[in-house]
Amino acid sequence: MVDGKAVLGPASVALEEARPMTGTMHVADHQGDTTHTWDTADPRTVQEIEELFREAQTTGRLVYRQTGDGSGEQVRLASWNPEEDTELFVAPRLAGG
Amino acid sequence: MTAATWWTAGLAAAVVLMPCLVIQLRRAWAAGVRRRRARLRAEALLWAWLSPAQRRQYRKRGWFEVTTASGRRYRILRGGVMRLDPHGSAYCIEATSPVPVADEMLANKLLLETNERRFLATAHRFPYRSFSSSLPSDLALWTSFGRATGDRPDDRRQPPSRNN
Repeated sequence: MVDGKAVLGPASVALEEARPMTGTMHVADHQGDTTHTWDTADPRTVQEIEELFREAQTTGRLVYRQTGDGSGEQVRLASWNPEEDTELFVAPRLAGG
Repeated sequence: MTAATWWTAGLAAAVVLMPCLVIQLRRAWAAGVRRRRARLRAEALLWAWLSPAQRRQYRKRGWFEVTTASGRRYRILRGGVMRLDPHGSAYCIEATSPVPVADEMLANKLLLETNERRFLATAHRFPYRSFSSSLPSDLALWTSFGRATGDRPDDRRQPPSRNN
């Protein structure tokens, strides 16, 4: 928050003229996963996803977007497009066992 | 003490202890339900991210294979990853937070497919035989290198719908 206004991330900018699109972020956790949805018509929901993105990146978790049938690609907040990348998975942090 | 006194004392103890036992049983049952629900959610999520070929393998055998950009083939199992080459390497890699095993399998798949180097830098590598012996006996047999391509009874249920 800056001067009482929410700081918009790169993905929240210039959504006003875009067609509304919804997406889901699955965050892997002890419940299997927790889903968070966003709607590009509602910038607040996109900001929430951006916040989760930041949190994931800070804690070393990788975020993937679904690119096709059975494939994924790592995505970072800077390159995330909420209108195109509508299925995200926040993977648990992995370590050698 | 007479038998009647023993019976009375036993009955009183049962009356006092029964609620505690019921509470413990309820807690254990609820925890079991939560674990099962988490497992089903994770299975469904994994299912949604698998390719048709991987789904077929996973449904039939409980594991699936991944081909990386370098052309290497890996088999992702519950509890580990094997590289399918004559040297038979196995890798141990796990989530640092408690998640169902299907979430771990999905994380391994995506990491291998997108960044094999990072996977290799993260995972601990083992000779295949020590990996195999660390698995439960039935799983070890089932994944045994050379036998892994054999059939295993299809005892897996259809992954649940995400709408459940």
